[in-house]
Amino acid sequence: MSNFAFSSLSDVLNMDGHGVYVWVVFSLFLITISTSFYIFNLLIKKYQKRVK
Amino acid sequence: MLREILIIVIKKFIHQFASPKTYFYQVNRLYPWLLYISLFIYLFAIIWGLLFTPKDFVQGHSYRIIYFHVPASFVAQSLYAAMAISSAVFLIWRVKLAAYLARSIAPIGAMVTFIALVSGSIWGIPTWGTWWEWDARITSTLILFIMYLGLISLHNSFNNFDKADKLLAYLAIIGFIQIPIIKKSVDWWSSLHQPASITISDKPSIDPSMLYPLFMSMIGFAGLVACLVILSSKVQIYIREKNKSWVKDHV
Repeated sequence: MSNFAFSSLSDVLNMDGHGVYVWVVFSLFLITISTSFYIFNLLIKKYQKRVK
Repeated sequence: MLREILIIVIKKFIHQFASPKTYFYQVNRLYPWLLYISLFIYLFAIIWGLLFTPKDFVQGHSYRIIYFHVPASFVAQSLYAAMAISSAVFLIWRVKLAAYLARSIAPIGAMVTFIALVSGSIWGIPTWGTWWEWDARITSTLILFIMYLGLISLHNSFNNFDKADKLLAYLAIIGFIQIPIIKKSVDWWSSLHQPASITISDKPSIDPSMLYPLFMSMIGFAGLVACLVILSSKVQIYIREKNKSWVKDHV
């Protein structure tokens, strides 16, 4: 593994002005994947209730 | 003799695993392992890629979107291939589990293609100066997204699952032609997209310090998506097999 690529937390967030793009994509990814897991688990519970 | 034994073993395996009941219990056992291992690999890859890889000298830090965009694009196409294979298995051998799987893959495929399109558009702003361009790769990926949505709508529009499964299977197989088009679009037409950086025949053109976390993110993301397909297939099994005694016993 390489060295840490930034010198401070604000550098991590800013990424020389590209931070906004990177972190928006990261957030979109996180939200979409976690929502999908949540929805499918909810659907499983819903259909389990119907079977009961 | 050996060939006959092999055929018997394969037939027995397919016969057993093709049963929704066996599949259900097997994936229930596999699911937590797959979920935690994939999550660990993916988080490790993302932390490595976002924080510990060097800055790209052309694209700056914006290239770090690669750790989201490339796994999503790769998995979006792989899912379609998996859906087409499942459809073929359903049509040839009448394995109903394959039809359930094809239907289960469609919404996950649409979601992953959506991530690929949006992350690509956002990456395009700092790199190309535009969020959208009607070039071959982006347009063909948009068509893939529309195809996924179309297959879901088509299946939902039928009350008869048998008819819906057959139609979905035929269309999924016909639509498979789209996958090599997406793959080769950057070579066949002039495009803003760069040609493939990772190919089977050539050495990757990405530096290993960026390549290893990329490979890990692809493996981890594929595992997470496999977990979603398992959940989606369980929903299909609950819908289709709700009157079976083993489903009632399980619930």
